[in-house]
Amino acid sequence: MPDELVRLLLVEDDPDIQEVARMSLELVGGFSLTVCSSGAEALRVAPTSGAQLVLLDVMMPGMDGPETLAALRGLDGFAQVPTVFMTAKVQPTEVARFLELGAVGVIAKPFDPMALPDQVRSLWRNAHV
Amino acid sequence: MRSFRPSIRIVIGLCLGAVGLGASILAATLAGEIASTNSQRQAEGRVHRLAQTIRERLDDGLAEREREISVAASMLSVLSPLLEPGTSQDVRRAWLSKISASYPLYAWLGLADQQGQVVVAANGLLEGRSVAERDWFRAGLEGPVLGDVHEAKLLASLLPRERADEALRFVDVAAPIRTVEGKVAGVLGAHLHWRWAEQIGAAVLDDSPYTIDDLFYVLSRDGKILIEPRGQEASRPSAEALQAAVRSGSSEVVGAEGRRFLMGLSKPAGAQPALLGWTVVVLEDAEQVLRPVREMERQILTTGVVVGLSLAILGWLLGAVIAAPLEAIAAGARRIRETGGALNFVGGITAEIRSLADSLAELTGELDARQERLRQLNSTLEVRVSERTEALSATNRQLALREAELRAVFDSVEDSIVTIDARGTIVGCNASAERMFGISAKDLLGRDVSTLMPEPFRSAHGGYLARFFATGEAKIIGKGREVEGIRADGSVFPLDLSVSETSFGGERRFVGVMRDITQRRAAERAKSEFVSTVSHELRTPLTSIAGSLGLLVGGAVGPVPDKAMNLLGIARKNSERLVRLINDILDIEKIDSGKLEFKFQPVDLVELARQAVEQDRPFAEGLGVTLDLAPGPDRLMVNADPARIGQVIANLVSNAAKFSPQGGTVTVAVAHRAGSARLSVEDRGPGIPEAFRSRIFQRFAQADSSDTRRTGGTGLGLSISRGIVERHGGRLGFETETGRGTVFHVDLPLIPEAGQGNTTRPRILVCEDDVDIAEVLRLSLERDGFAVDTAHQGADALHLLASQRYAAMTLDINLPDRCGLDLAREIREMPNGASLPILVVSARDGAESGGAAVLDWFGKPVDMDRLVQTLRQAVQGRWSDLPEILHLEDDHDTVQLVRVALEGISRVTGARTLAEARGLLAERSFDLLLLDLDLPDGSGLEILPLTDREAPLPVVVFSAIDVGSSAARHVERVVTKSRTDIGELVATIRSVLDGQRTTRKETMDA
Repeated sequence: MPDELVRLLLVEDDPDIQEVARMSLELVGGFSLTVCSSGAEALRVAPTSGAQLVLLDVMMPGMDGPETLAALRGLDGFAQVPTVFMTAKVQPTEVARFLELGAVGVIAKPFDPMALPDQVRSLWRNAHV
Repeated sequence: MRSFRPSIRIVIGLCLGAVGLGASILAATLAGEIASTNSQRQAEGRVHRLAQTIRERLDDGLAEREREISVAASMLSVLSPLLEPGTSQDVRRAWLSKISASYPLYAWLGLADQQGQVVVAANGLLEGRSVAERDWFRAGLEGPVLGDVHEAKLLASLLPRERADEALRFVDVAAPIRTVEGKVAGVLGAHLHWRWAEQIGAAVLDDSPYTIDDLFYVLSRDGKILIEPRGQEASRPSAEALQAAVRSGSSEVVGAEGRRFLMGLSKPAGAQPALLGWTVVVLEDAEQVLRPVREMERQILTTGVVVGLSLAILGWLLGAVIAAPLEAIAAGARRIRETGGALNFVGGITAEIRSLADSLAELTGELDARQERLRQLNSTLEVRVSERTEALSATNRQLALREAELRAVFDSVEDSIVTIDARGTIVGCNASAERMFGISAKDLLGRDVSTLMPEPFRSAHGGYLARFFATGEAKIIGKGREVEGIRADGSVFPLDLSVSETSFGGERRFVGVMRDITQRRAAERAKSEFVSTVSHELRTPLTSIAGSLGLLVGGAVGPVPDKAMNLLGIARKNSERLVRLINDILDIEKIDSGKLEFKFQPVDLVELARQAVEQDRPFAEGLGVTLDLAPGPDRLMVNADPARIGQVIANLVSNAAKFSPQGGTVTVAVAHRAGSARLSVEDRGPGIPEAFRSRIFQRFAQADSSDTRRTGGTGLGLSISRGIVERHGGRLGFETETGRGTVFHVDLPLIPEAGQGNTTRPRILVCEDDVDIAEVLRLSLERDGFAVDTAHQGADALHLLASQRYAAMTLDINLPDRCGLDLAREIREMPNGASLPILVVSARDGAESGGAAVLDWFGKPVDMDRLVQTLRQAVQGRWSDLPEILHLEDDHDTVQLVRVALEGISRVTGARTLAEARGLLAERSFDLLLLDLDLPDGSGLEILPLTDREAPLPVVVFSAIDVGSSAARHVERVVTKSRTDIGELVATIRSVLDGQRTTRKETMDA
């Protein structure tokens, strides 16, 4: 059975959503959260974050979500870290594309902050099946 | 041009003249023939008799000469002493002279002694010469002798001649002179002059028309010519010709210059002819003989010509008599032609002429009458023609006006119109077409319409027209389609094309109406981009708002005062509404553009309804409404996208709850209904107002605009729901009663339950050593409509595969008892394992499949969606428990729709053409044939004979065309496309297949 999920890395350019997600994940979910505002920052921070799972916005200035994911995969020790996209783009083809890129799941925006931690935990379990 | 016709007078004159002339020629020829034959025969007799007479005389003369000499010799016997020597020569001469005087015909007369010496001779010729060697002397010693004629020998130079060239010829006559004692003392010899013979001939000929100079011949015994004529040397026959004719006994001989002579011939008779055996020939010129005959013929011919001419003149005169009345009739007819009036003919010498004249008179009378009528008709006709012409020009003016009007309308139409003929040549266009393509009408007309299209439309167009004519398969006609056009400047632009077919003057015409949709396309693109942008831009702030409100209301940041909580609740509710509205707008946009995506799978509608009720219950209870699930069947499988159908149920429940009175109940029910599953949502609200019912599925439609605020709806829900249900091949409908409530129902095609547990679900074998992972896979796959067995070791897997048929299997590589790839190879060796789809699920890299054909390779953690999708594709062709349907249909979308609708009921193999279907029927067996009639290579009915087999293949026709009665006996059921929904088709197929299965089972039981 997988270890308990504790440390998350959130990559999200919108500061308001960052805040809502942080409150949801930290206050409601009790996770330890590292937050980045861009893909570039995420690449800098990730190796030292100890994150067990990455939550990744898709539409971001500069590197977008998929690019960030590809770059993260290239980092030492980060190739196997499950990644979940958080996006408003939730058409089946879009979801399928994200999954093909190696994401373990997609969470639709707007998300329910009270339910978000459970969603994340569920994806974490599935990723270790 | 009229050919020359001789008059009757000339004809009769010529005929009679020819008859007279012909008769004369015939008479002359016949008479001449008879006369010439007679004359010739007479002449022949005459010359023959002459020859006979002459020969007889010659023979007589010779006999006489012989006697003479014998007498003379006997006289001389008395005078034998004359021969004795010593007898005076004068005495001898005196005696001989006496003898010679009595025989004047002899040229020479002499007395030879015993030794052959001429003792004495007349005129002293040859005296003293020896004649001992002469024939006549030697013969004469023996007795009297008559020798043949011969040329003069000793005497030749001694005797005088009448002519210099005359040959002296003699006939020797001799007799012995004996003494008294009978002893031969000598020989008396005489040479008879040949002139004697000629004189005999001349004497005979004196009594005939001929002379000795004419053609008179004497030939010796050996054929030598002794006497020949002196005249006619030029024309008479040659000696050889004459001798040949004599030998053959002919009656004719041909002379020089080809002249014919009649020949009279007298030959000595018998083998030993008397005397000298001469032959006498008399010739007569045949022309001389026939001259009188020729004269007679000339006279007859002359007479004939005269008679012929006379007859001709007579005929001419007779002809005049016959022709006169005819000419009178002709003259009368000419007069009528020139001056009119009736035929007045009073003459006529025969009944026939009379009858002819009468008939002509009647005819001219009739003609007059007709002419009169014609004149009257003509006069009225002119009036009528001028009336009609007037009417016609008026109509023409109207037509021209009308055409100008139509042309103006045609040209003012905003859309471009181009008409083409059956070969694709442009035969008409309007002003808009000219503007649209930038080509003048003059250049457009006569062009091939394909030149207005860029590739690949251009190349495809010819084939498209040909196929349309051959099969009636229309790509655009009557449908309308977006294609591309190319302008004169080479720029390509999108256009909306609709084509209709018409016929004009018996020829097919196609009318294409085109609209440049460049702007529309741009607008669509802009709209799509706009919607996409809006969705993101609106959702981003909404994510924060809704999230913040959610955290506050959820108590994440601690308790909130009640009053504030109330306000937060309002804000949260409205933010959620805004999210729904955005989602709905996005859905509507996607439904419109056909981009709404579905993930169809077998779903238990009862379970789906239960989940929806559980999810929506809090919402309903929030409105003070109870949400119930009515009791019904345990399970009804449909082929659906559960998320989308869940969305529909939520929408219907939400509407029902909103319109229910406080404390009311909304009931959700699922029922089986004629091949479909029906889900209904019933409320006991006020019902839908009559006026609103027709607009209920329209967008932003709400019965009362103030409802929006009260009910919090977007006005898009039903429109979206209907779009979703229709994409499932189902129907969304409602029944309502004012004051009693409303029932909305969703009918979806049913996947049949085989009744025995999970047989309709494809069975998957999961081979995985980790018990937890195996369980997760099992639960996931079962949720997605599969039946699952698990095996934790390779041996277990082989055992299960041997005892059970699986649609596919998943395989872990790391198994406790063997390598998964080895297991895969073993499975391939099994009877039912060769084609089993094997999907590897392993943490190991997929590069080393090791030759065991595996369908796909999934790493861990498993992408369940992809696994399910792959499994579904893999089992579709292998769901072997299910009956197999051959669907003959050229429209790909229809095949897809039917395949989806029949998923779980049967496997569907599509064939686009008759040829393809024939091939499939030949190589595989099917349980049912679903048939479209309108196919690219013919009518679907053509396949029917192939279905009439030992075990007949049931046929269901699913076509827009009605089936003819003749084909109906081959066909189990007919489902007409436009009249039925997909649910009825599914129900029909199920019932046919059920019947089939029963029959098959019975057969097997038997």
